[in-house]
Amino acid sequence: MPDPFIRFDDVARTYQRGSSTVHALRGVDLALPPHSFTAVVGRSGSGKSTLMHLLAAMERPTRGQITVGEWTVTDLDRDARARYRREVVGMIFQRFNLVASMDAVGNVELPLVLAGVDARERRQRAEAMLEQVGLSDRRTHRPDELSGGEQQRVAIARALIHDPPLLLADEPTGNLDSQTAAEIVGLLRQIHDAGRSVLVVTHNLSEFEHVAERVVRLSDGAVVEDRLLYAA
Amino acid sequence: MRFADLFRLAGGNLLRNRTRSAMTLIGIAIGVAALFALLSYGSGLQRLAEQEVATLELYNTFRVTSTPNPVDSFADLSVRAVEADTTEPVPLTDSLLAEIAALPGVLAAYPEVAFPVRVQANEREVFAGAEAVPLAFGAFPAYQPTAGAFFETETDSSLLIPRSMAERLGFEPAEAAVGETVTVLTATLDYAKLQRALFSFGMGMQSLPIREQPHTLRVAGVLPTEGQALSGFVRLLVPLGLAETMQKVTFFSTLDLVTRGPATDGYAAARVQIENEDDYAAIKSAIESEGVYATGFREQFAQLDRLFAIMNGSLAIVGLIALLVATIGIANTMTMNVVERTREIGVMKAIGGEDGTVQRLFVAESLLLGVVGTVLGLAFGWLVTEALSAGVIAYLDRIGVPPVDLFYTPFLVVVGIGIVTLIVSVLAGFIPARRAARIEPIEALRHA
Ligand SMILES: Nc1ncnc2c1ncn2[C@@H]1O[C@H](COP(=O)(O)OP(=O)(O)O)[C@@H](O)[C@H]1O
Ligand SMILES: [Mg+2]
Repeated sequence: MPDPFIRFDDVARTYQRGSSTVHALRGVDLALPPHSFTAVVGRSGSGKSTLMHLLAAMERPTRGQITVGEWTVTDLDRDARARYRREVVGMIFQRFNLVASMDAVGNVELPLVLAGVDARERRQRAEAMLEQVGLSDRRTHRPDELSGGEQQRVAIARALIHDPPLLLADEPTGNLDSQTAAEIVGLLRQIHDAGRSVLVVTHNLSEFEHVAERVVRLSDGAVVEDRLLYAA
Repeated sequence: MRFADLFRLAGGNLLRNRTRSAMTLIGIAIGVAALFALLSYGSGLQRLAEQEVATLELYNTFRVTSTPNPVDSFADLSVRAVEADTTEPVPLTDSLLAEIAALPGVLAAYPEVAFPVRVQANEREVFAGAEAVPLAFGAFPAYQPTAGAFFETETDSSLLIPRSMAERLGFEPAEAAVGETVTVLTATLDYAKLQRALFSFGMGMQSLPIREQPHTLRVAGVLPTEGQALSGFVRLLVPLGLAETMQKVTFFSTLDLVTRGPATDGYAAARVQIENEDDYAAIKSAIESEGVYATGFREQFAQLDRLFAIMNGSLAIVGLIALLVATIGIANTMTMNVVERTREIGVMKAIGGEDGTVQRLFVAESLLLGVVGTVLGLAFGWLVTEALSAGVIAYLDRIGVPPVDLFYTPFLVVVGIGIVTLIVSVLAGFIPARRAARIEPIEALRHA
């Protein structure tokens, strides 16, 4: 096995809820190779989202260390975490989270705007990205003029515009009908085939059975299963 | 994030809640307009006063009195010690004035004679303040008639009236007044009435012991009123010698009696006009070496400037209060914008936005509100001052007074307002912007 791209070493996260302590993750160890496609599954409340937030440096663990490539994610300060997200991570959400006042191109190019890329270049890249997700003809539509599947495609284009090596998706098909969900899964597969690592959180493994290479099952904050679905 | 993008995004965000942005802008615009109009008014009055002083050559004028001139202290806010004056006042006599007039650099030294009159012609009547001037004043542009001529001799039975007064007296055009006669009524003490009042210990006195004395005078010329907006339209001039022979009371108000000081022989006050301001200090000390007091109008105007500074300061404070209210409006709007967009800010963080970038974005929004509000406010303030000015001029025209522009806006006022509102709008946006900057990316996932 090559050096892991993503490593969790004894990662724990607790939340204080009133006087009781919630153990969202209890000492998770993980080692995922480069260019992997991992499905994180488990019942609601098992800690899947927490694992993803820690990986995206949106939260910090109570204990343990996370590394992604060269980055020791758990040691970064605020600005460095923003830079890490900008350079390493693309993220898509269950509720799409597009900016309502911007059209499709505006949403897709937003990460480049935040990164200070010049207008002509980012417009070109955004249009190319929209073409890749099959939405060239929806360029100037606003989110409320797009279907759920189209919005998620825009979100995927936005997540990939800055060419990150890692794509994180928390229940990306949770708000979509099965037909549309299958299309999004197909898109994620293409993204993986193009050489990126993909980590998907889902409670519906069957949707990803034919694309995911690896399944990590969480239960009550602990990894209870970590197996390969087929040889990568 | 690039500068242009910052303001493009900020502008787009402000357009999302148009009503809220518009209300905030109106608030700023009103504050800025108030500040603009009030400061323009203060500056306008100051300019009129300064113009008048310059036109009438008062920078080169001394007022000479036997006792210290108490007028000095009216505008002087400092506390001073009262000194017992033991020296006998030196009377202002003709011979003393002749001596002063002979000093090098002195154009004229003459008794101060000013008195209230009524002027009648063509069955009309106006009130005016008559001032006696020496022949030497014919040299000053402000005293040069635009029609007719300056006085020929000290005792000419003639007068000079401002153009607007000629019109108000029914001469059409004003030049037609030249050569015509008018009746000038002076007030004078009625000794018979005064005696009766004294015998009855003041009882039964129905009115002040004053009666009017008519004088028939020829209009020698018509005077320009440019640069004398505050008093030009009520001032008429008579030659010094004539004025001394006219029976009159020489006070306009009880203040004049108070400031005149204790009675002495000689004149109550005299004026000294010098030719060149370089001689100012030398002539002042030469006059005072005679034992009398010379107060330069110039020194009084330094105090006048201080009074104007205080007035402008007070006006600015009123305007700044309006602006403060507008600032609170900006802060409120920005706080609401941040709270409403919490999720969106979280998304920006999640896709790589740094704290500083988010903070700058919100400061830019606030700054943009300030800039647009300031531009609107300056335009609005300008419209207000133009409208008020037109109204005042129309009113003055109706009562026969030459037009006066009460408002004047120095460029510095515009720049100052701009700088203040920009600073204030950045400050107002700063706390909400910091709040936005501290929002965690995880907020993108809450607020479902
Ligand atoms: N911010 C939080 N504060 C308190 N408890 C939390 C917070 N986030 C998650 N939890 C708790 O941690 C546990 C794991 O949550 P999560 O990772 O969201 O589970 P999943 O995504 O698998 O449904 C749950 O019990 C949840 O209630
Ligand atoms: Mg979850």
